Amino acid sequence: MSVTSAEPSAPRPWQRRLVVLLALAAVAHSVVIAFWLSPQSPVRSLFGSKNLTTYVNPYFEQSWSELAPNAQFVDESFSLRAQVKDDETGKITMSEWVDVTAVEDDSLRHDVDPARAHLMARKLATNLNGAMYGLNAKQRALVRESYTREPIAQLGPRLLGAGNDRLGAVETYVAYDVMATRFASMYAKARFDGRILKVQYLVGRRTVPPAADRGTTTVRDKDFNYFRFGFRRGYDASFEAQTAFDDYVGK
Amino acid sequence: MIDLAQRLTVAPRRWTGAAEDWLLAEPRALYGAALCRIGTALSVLGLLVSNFTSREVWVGQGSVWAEPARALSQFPELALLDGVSGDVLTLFYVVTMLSTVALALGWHTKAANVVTLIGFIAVVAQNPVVGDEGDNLVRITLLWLLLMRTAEHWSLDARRRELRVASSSGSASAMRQAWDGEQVLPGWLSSGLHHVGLIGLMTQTVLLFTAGGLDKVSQDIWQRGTALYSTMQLPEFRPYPWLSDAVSSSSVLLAILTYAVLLTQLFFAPLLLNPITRRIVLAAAIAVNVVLAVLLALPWSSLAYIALAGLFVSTETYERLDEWVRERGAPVGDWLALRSYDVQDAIAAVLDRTWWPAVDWVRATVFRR
Repeated sequence: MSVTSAEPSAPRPWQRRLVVLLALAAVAHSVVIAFWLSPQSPVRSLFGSKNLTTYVNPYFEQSWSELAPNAQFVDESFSLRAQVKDDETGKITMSEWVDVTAVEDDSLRHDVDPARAHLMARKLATNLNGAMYGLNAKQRALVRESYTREPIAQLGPRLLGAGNDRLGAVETYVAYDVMATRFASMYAKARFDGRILKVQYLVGRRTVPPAADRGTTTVRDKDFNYFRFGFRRGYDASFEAQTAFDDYVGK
Repeated sequence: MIDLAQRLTVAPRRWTGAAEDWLLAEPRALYGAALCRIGTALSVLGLLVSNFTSREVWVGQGSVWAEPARALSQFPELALLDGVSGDVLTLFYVVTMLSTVALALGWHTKAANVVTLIGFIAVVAQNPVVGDEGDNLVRITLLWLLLMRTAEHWSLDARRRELRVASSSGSASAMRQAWDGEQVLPGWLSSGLHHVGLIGLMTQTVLLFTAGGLDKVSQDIWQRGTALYSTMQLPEFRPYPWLSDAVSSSSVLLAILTYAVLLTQLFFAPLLLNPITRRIVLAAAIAVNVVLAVLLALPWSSLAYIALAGLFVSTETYERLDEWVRERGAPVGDWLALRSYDVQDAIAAVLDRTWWPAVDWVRATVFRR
């Protein structure tokens, strides 16, 4: 296929060895990936989880449950409401609850290649639910309180005060609380006229009944179990960011 | 004892020699690599097209809410779109889409592969909250494809090479050859890298299928053949509710699909070892992914899996397929190829009249060279 006409000469010994070395590197890489994908075991521990993580992140990051489809059992919901101030009249009102996942579900129906934006609220709910299960009872009580005078990012130290053995869980929770607050604020601003003073959201989960019961009950017959959260101070996004949300929500 | 010692010293040398011969031989699986390139590129293109209208809220300024998750990501490519305006995002997004088209067509393939990889990471990793399981697979595939010779077949690069050889237009500069997708590396290195990439990507695929299968078989719900029931009940995985209900209401259909998924993943690796079972498992893996693409609304990740499965199809099978398609599609293919060259000529003519005079003018007046 080469355009050069000269007949290629046989590879020299060092060239042959170099290619073998490269192949051995690929094999060694595959061995490391095999250990990364394998469950916890004494052999895997030889590598050290931290070393493996450092090696695979970010380009070779993957997981044993990577290969779709996976059995998933939980239906989630994300609802929000907001306190809205009409700057012209000064009137402050509380909106009705909006089930954002229900709106997303309408967009997903009859769409074989849905846009990922239609999964934003659902994925937030999934992650918030997971994060809540990482907190202890005292910490869950704390997140049910309202934080409208301080940035929600400052919730971390309070949560750690109620159980400093869960640093990772608290960090994860605070990150998702920040994300949910921003998302809820931007969505509310796109949906309601006025300035968003504070937002509140709740995430629900319900489990799909076993396949054996499919003749009598479906997941849609079941009620959601909710995690409730207090009010959070409304997040002011930039004009461009809010415009993008307005266009998406269809104000 | 001496005999054993001799064997122990001779055997590694023999194995090393065999490995060198294998690695430096004529590149293998060139058709598989080409199909993998096309399938992966189309998978990326499909994803980008599906999300084009909502790109601003997915990965643009509107995704500011996902910043805490983005901050944890270690991809340096994220900086390319950090805080950019909507117009710059659109430009970047369109360039990435065009590069995936070029990669699928095999037009300046290596350059297109690089741009697609960088663009894919920069765009998709902007919003990790809505990331998909297939994203990692696509990224890793694009990485390994960089080492491989993926444009030897079913590509405009191959077509251009054929035309150049036929017209004996002489040798061009190394840069020009690289840009044209021609082989600039020495043959031994090019073949060696191709085979290293092939080993890496095939092993990665086998590992992933095996790990996925082992994970599934350890779960009771997969053993009972009902695992997909619960998934099909969730709104995000039932684009056509009547279809999901039709499959999940039939115990037999549900079990067949569930076991087909489980078995094609769990036994993917061992079944590749025999030519007959390899055909069966590859056909099954492709069929399962086609069904799942529609049933669970996972078209682009399913296409990426199919592209990887295509890597394991033998060259003989591809050659037969290629011959069959060429016989029936030759007139259409020729017409399309000729039109594509007309387009390339037109672009070159425009560049000759606009870009290059401008460059010359800048060089002559600004840089005074």
